[in-house]
Amino acid sequence: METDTIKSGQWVALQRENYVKVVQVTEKSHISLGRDVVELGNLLGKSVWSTYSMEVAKRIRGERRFQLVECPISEYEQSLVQVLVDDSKDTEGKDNRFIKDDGQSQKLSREAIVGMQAEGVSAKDIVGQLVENSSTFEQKTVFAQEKYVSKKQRKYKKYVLVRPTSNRLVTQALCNLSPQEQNPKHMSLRQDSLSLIVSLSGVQATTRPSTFLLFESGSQGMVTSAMIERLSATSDAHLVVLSCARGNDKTVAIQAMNYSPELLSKVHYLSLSEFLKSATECGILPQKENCEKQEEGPPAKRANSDYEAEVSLVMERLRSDKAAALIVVAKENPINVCTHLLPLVELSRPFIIYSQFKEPLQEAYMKLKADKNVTALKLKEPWLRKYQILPERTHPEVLMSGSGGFILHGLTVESA
Amino acid sequence: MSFPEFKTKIERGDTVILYLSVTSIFPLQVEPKMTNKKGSLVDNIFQTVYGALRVSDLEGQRYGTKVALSKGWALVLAPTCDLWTQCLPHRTQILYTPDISLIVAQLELRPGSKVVEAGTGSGSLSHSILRTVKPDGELHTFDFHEGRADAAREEFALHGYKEPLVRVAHRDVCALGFDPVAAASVDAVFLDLPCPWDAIGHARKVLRPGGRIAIFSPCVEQVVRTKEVLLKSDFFETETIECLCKELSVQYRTHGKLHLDGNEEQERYLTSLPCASIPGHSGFLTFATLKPWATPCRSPILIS
Repeated sequence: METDTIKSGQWVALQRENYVKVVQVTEKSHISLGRDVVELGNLLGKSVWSTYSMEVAKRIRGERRFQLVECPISEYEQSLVQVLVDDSKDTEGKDNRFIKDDGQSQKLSREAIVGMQAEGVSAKDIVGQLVENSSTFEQKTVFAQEKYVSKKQRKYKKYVLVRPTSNRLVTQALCNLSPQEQNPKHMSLRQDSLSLIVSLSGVQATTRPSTFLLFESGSQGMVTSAMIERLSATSDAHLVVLSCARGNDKTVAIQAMNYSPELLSKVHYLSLSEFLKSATECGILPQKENCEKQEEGPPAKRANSDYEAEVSLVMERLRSDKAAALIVVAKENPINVCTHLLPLVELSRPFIIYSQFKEPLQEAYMKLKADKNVTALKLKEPWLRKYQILPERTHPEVLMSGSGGFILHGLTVESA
Repeated sequence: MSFPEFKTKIERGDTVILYLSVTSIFPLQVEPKMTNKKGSLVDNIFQTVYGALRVSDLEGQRYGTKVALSKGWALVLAPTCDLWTQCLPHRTQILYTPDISLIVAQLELRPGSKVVEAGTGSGSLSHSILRTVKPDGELHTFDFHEGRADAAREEFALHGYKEPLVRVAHRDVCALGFDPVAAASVDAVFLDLPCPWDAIGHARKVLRPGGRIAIFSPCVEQVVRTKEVLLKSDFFETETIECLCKELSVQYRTHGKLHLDGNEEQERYLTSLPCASIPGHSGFLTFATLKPWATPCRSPILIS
């Protein structure tokens, strides 16, 4: 078990059953976990891998506030299915022909159940009572009994696992936020599309200087964070993150990873308009005949010297070695950003454009094809399915993600 | 030697990707001479449908440019993991980019990670692992086929990947485990074996607490058995996923719009169509985490 202890300001992942949330721990911080509000102060000084039970701390305007009380791992791990379902019994011939959905099978009243919860009765005892007072439980097959108990366990077992964050968990936490929404906050990015973008980009810790060019908007910094992880504090690979406004370095996805200052010194956040202006001024981008004004974002608030130094460092790097890849992940139509930035990319290097919609990528496909400075152009739609794996009950999960967005990618080549 | 660092000019010893079309991609080793079938040294000439290429002519050329063939031209590209996967010499069935990307991400690999892989196969996944964990990480890769292990070792060296970054061993890991990898010393294990459950006890031994495991199996029955053994070997949060990537063909289409008076009007629009037949299954990917509170074990747990 990792011996690192949680310090104030540190980010950890909080997991209850299959639900994951990334949180920053301070003395006073509290978060909502489903319908419950949980105070995090108790985590300070505890191990980054540790288990807790949620116990009622106080009521604020009728809302229950929970605090986390460290518990033995055995308690956290206890599976109610093992305790409450006797799988040795023969279930041959059992089915649901006598089970009626008349709402009468549970003899315990709602008040009695809520009362037990308020008194802090353990999940094992509550679910045990539910099973005992269910007139249909015994008629169910063992498989159905297991399903019933695990469903109740998810509802009543208030235990939490605290663990170190990782990009896998961050993606899980951010993508699970709004599965129902048509226009989710993460632009349909999914674990498979995100990993494909990162993989195709070829981002890696090189010993010789290399610079990766990323434009990200609308995906909460998930791509930036996943790419930063592939750099290394001891290598000479840098990441330039362009966006319409500054402040992209403060997204949850990046902060949650607790990256070291040494690693973060390889990452440069610049505004797109200022970047294009500087690149044109210092001659690494050709002067456009009619500068497209609509592209420019809000003017820089105040040029400070740190930012200036950052800009000139990036220009210097791109002057000696052109970019090793271009990645555009945008909620807007990406075509302008892409065609403006492509001349900065070295020949025979990958470019990747991600969009939630396929229409802008179709347009980009035709435009790039006509420009003749790319090859191996492909439009792809990732597809992902999860499975329930159980003896004699293996099948795809009933709910699946309907879209993981679209990826257009190819390689830069000498223009024909 | 053109894998670990980015290059702009082709040099002797580089691996170059000769790109004729989407379906016609070839890896070339830039050496002026090669040994022919009779074992004698001859000029390295590569034949394509567009004519011959004298490979030594590539030296000094820029990556991403065109080269003349006797009856046409081709592009010379710097190798990327994705290109390599598309054209590598198959010694076995291989893993493709969508699965590879997901495996590397789900194993939480990063520069410095220590990884165990079995079997090595044709090294398609190995290249992506090496790219991710270099410069100071480690890949210990095992194959029970001696010829394949040797071919992979040679290929990695040719690509600039050597010890201690990569170690290729000829070994039946199901029977003999992952020696000499030390107990509780690696961050991730990947298994692509006919009977992965026989290697899980050994994987349990070499993984550090909290480490990740990924298992690739084409059949459902394998997955069920694997999961059962994982749960008995101190792993938790098992998850099984299948991923595919649909390629869409972008094209303008002209389409008749039928009016009720029987007249037809032509409409042209930009659309994209999936191919009529696509790879529908590669394998099931099963992931799990070794419980961080699992106690280190000296010998593998044997589950009959």
